[in-house]
Amino acid sequence: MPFDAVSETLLKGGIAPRHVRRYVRELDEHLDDLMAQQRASGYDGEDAALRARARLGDDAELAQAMLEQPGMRSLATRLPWLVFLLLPPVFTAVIGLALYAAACFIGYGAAKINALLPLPESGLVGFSTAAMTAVQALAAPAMAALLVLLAQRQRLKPVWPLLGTALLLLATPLYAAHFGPHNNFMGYGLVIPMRWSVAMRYWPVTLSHVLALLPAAWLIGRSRAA
Amino acid sequence: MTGDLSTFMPGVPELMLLHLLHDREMYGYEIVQAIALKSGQVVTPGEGVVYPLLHGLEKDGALKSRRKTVNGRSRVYYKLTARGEKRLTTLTDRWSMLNGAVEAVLGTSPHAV
Repeated sequence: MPFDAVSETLLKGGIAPRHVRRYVRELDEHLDDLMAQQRASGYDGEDAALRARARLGDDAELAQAMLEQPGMRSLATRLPWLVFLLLPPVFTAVIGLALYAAACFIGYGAAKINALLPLPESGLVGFSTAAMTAVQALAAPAMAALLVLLAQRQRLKPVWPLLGTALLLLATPLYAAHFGPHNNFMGYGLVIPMRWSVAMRYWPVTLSHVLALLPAAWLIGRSRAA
Repeated sequence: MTGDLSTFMPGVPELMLLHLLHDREMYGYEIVQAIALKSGQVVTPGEGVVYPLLHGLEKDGALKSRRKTVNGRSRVYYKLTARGEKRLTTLTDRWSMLNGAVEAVLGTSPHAV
């Protein structure tokens, strides 16, 4: 691709990938117009290509012009601590709690719903349990994968997603809960272990930790290979 | 820009872009050709560098863009917004003032003493 070097310089310079993609696409289109103009002027083949490329500007000039523009840098580049360290545990907690709430709502409602619908109470309770288990097992790995992907796309140092993943691993057990027998009036409820060491014994939490480490391991392997 | 006009006079490339887009919407290549033509080839931009400037102006709300296909070619067209109009007025006023001042100093102004 003719603008790979420009693209790489911009990403390493912290320009948001969406701005880089758009810039490169417009440069491509501009180059096509310049080539057509050169051909119309009687140049062809490599001559036309070289003349067109020279008129567009060299890689350094093109990259510098974009790097000088304020407001084009990505949030992850400007505030990596916010994107990689603070937001992931908060988002995971918010999403997790919202899904917990939905699961509990279904589970709590089971007794009343099955009076109106031909749905077995055990089925609804089972659905709630499965949904919460899935959230427990997959939310942190999904977030860890997202952090690694973000760092890769924006050519950021691996330390940020690795620190983010470590924080997620520490925080995930704090949200551990399951839907099960409870002493409330419905007989079922949200069971929260309260203690980190107890939560770590839940198999969804263990699975979550193993899965969340995979993107980090991939990133470390890739960094070493590079 | 030739002679590094952008560093010689910050704001001039922006003024030219806004002025050109005041009349009608245009795409990048068209803008560069228009600048070269209207300036009598005095200002011939390193053509690709026009895009960061356009993107910056769009981010500031001075321009709006849309992708449009004309004669089978898909391109991004830019046009001035109300905020862009205000900016153009401000920059034009500043330019007139600066131009008058420089001409007066150089003694080329009809008002020069």
